[in-house]
Amino acid sequence: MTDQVSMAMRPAKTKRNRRLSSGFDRVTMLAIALFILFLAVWEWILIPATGVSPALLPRPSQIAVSLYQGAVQGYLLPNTFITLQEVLIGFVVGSALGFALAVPVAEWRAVERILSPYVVALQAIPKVAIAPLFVVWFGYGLSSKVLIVGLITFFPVFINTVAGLRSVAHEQRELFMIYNATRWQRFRYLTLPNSGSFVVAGLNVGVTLSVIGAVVAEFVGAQEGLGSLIVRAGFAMDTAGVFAGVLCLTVIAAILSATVQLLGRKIVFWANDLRR
Amino acid sequence: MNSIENGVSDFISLRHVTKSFETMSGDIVTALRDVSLQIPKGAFVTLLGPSGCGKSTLLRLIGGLIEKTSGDVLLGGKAVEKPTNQVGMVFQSPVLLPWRTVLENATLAADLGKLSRAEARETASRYIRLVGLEGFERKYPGELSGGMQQRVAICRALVHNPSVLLMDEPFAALDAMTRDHLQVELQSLWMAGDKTVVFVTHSISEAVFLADYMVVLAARPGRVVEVIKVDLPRPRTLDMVNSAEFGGYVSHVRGYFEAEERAA
Repeated sequence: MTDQVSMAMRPAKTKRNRRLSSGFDRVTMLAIALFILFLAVWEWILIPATGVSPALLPRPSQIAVSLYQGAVQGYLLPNTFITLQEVLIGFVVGSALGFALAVPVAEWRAVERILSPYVVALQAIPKVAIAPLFVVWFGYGLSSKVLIVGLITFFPVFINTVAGLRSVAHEQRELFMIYNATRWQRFRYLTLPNSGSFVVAGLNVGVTLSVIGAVVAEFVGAQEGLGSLIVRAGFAMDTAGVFAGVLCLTVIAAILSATVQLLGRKIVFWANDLRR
Repeated sequence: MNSIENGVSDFISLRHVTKSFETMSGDIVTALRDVSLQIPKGAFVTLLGPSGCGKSTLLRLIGGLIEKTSGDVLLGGKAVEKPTNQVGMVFQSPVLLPWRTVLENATLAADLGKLSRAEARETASRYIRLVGLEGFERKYPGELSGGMQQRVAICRALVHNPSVLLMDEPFAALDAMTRDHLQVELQSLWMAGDKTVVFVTHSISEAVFLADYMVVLAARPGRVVEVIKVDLPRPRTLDMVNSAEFGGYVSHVRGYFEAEERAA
């Protein structure tokens, strides 16, 4: 009997150990090695062999130099910060509005019927295409960027939240009926927490889109930010500078996305248990 | 004919109850036709029948979850119009809220204003101990087996001290061994209290094992064909399933189902 118990415990334990050490397991090492190999081939084989002009494709080392200069000369970090600011404010505003509007739409059919034509119409508009309009209306500064980011973040969060709030199973509804729960109690104790994993999925999509939104808005009209930095570098045929800008954007997007996923896993902890 | 005992103590009473639904295609389906049934207080009643016989519908009518088309549904002498505090319910799936711990799930009724939190915690802890889940209070449903989850669901249904426990095929999704265990546990829970239990099942042996009275239903339309008093001594044990008496009840009921199958 004791044997059986310890046998049953063992697999769970090794599984946890593997997860803890997963930061440095063999696959990770292999992935890092392959990435270094990729950079080396690019640097020492691809560029010399093809003789591509640095104006078309810079070497990794030139991108590194460009990054270093940008940091030292003090324009890369402030511009990164500005884009990050646009993304964060826009993302928070857009997802807050998306969530806030999803609640009445999911709870009351009448609200849905009144609002859904506008939502569908607004959703059909390619948000990127109306970016110039926002710059005309709200200027070259922060507000036009925040609005575009907000608008682009709004939809995935809104749509996922509506779907999540409606994902209550029939028996769950009956459970709350048997207790004569009020509408508010049902929302507070069932519908809202039940929508958690959907909302997090919406935020995940929204956060990636929000970086795209900010850069496009800066392309259209801005004096600062990574988007405008990339445009200027492009005009100057400073391809390494373009790559440096893109790299910073990628890092922003990756960190934000990882943060949202981490927070999501913490908040909607039960969904992870189910997936495993 | 369908009266279990003709007495003043009829606690749940259905008189000529009919329930019809309109399907998506617009057809009218009669789930229950002219059902009359009297259930005395404190009895363990099983509703047994093939799928489509309206046994779950009958349960939901008693619970006030759905409205009858015609007839009377009375609980403690009062017409049932909506769910009341007198009723607790266990579903086929545990329907636990995965973001709440075992104890938090069991005390859901307190959050919904049925009783004080302190009272709920005390009662829930007692039931959790009775069903053998002591030490699991802080675990989440995802960490429990199906049988353990259903035990929590039973605790939850009992916490606000309802006089009627409605159970809709609660053990149907469990494996045979867990099911046997839970039947025995449910019997002792019921024997320790004064609750009236209405238990829906499509397992004949489960129905016989648990019942004071077994209500046999037939399908299309759902109707009561017989009410059988099960005169086996309590507490019943798993060994009794092999006794001739037990087998007698089982084969008697099976006769109905086989007749129905031949007719269909």
